[in-house]
Amino acid sequence: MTAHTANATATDQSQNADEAIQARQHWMAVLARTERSVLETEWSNKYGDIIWNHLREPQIGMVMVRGRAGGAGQRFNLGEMTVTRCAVTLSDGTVGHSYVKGRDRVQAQYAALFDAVMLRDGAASDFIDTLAQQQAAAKRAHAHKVAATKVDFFTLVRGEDE
Amino acid sequence: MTLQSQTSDLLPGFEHAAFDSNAVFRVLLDAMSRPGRIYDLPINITAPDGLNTSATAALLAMADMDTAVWLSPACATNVATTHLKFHCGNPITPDVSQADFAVARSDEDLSFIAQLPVGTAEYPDQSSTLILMVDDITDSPEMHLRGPGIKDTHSLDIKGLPAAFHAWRAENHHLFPCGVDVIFATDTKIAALSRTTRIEVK
Repeated sequence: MTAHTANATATDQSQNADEAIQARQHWMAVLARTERSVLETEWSNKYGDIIWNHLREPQIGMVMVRGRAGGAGQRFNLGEMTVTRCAVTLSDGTVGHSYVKGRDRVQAQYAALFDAVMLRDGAASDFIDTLAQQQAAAKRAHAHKVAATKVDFFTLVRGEDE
Repeated sequence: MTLQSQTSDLLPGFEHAAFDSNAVFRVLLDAMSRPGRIYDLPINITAPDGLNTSATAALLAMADMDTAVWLSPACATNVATTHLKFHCGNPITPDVSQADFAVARSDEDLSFIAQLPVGTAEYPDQSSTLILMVDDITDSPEMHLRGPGIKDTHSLDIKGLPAAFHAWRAENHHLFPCGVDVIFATDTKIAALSRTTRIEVK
């Protein structure tokens, strides 16, 4: 019985860890898609007095993006893209990381700062939620616009062979 | 917060990655081309537990994902390996005969130095470099150095260098063009011995 309970606790813990990772992936993705000016304004308005340091100053590099045709085919190299990464540490030792598309060092730095704040006490959850909603709305609007111009190709039976 | 506990013991690396690693590289280059001459570490940096300041700076400047680093038992602390993996992304090898850089303290068991790769006659550059952390380096005349990069002789004293080290150096000298180069690192000073340097112990 004890073993059973212990097992259950272990599963709970790994589930909790998975959820924590998923939550972090979510906010890191949202931050990476957010413009620098938005991050900058929010940071200086609400968290300007936080003391922090660079753990790894923003670095620009490249990553190879790989894809699978249809999501299921052979893996192939789609191409390289520019990525900026940054790591910061808050005065209490919390470490935040970021990987963002493009060459904007300042955006990477603020994304890492918000990651650290979210890890520390989740203080920026509302900000992240608002951004996520805005991004989802923008994506929907774009999908709508694209869907309106969708063309279905099909071949009419011409009957020549009969 | 499981995510946080994984990363909160990380230490910062170079303050300005490009300038600082450049400065450290320059000092290592000068030290290696003028064996036995003592150089000051040009920058300030936080060293993780297990490594000293100059050894950390040298590794941050030199190590990357293509260089395998071997750490002696006294140096291979969790903090040190995490620090190197985070800032250099280099593999830490448990096998000393695979090491491009080997790091040890001079007061440790140095029997591993016999297994360090010395390169081959075709590729003598594939040898390893030993970074030896020592307490003090002075120019008092304990050792007399001769060889390329030294006009006449040069005197050097490394505090607490075991006799076995000199025996190994003599062997190492005969392997030319193969052989292992040595960097001595205190917290603030760096000196180097290239494989061509001949040492006479007083």
